Amino acid sequence: MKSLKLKGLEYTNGVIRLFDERVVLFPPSIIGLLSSIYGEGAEPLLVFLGKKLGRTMIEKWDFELKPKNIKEITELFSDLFSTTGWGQMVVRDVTDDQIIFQLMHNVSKTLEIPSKFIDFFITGYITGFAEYIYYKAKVQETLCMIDDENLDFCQWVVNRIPT
Amino acid sequence: MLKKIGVQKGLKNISIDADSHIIYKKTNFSLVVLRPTDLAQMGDLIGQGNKDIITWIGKTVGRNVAEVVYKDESPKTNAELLEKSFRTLEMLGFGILSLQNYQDDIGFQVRVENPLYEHLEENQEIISNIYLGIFLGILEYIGRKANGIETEVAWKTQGITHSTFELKIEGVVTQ
Repeated sequence: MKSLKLKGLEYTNGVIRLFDERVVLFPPSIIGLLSSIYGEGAEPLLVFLGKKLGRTMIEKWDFELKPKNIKEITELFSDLFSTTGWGQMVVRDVTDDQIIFQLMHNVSKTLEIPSKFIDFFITGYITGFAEYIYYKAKVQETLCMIDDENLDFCQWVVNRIPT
Repeated sequence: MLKKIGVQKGLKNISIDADSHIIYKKTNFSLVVLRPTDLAQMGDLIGQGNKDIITWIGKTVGRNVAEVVYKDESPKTNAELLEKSFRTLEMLGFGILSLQNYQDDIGFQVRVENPLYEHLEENQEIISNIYLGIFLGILEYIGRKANGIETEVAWKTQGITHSTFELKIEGVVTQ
């Protein structure tokens, strides 16, 4: 167990900032609670909200840390994502047209009732990143440990949409 | 890559485990990094008029925080549990919270410096309701039913940057 440390993370007077963006540490169960109100209709809303967060974060991380190419920015995204509590994101493949992410230890599994809704939010988070680097992209969760008990990860495939 | 970019001073009492989960102390209280605007927008999706649901979400957080504090720090009095819960909330980024005018089984005030809504341009009321829910949730954990109101509201009042909540104990929570 390590103390949460990350470049760009500052704490002063009850305020946490990540690269000047105020953030708060909140239980992920909020997503499950919201989804219990919306049911299946929550999916597009969660993707939308995740996308806004993903876009903001990758813009800041890119500006501050200046990765040189798609491979570096993708690794940066997965490393920093892995320090924001959702689980451990691993990049399995990166090309100019496709990226494959696998999320080990999805935080959803730690909840009393594991929720697929957290995955919808993460789909949005990845979409925010993908549209930043590819401009247009399709993001699909192709494997899910919540749906398939034999898996110990969730997988997202990002495909660039040619413009 | 993280090794390459380096690290800075960590957050006290907040850890990241081998599974990349953010944990408060050595509990199983999982946390994720969100922006205040994400919370506000999630609340907005429920509907501005639906204060009860937002407050309920806050209560869930408040009960969780109180439970963690109770198990980990063994407070001897309700006031001590409130104080320690507020210190925990500070570490989570909720601003500086101070307990004021505490009277056992009557009520108290909570002053919040740097509230989460401080730079939001909309949906500030949702954040206020989350705070209120958190305070009510802590009180529920210690078996007290209460009524609360934000009496000083920074986002509505020019010249103040803090928020004050007044909580009045109404009785004991019955099952």
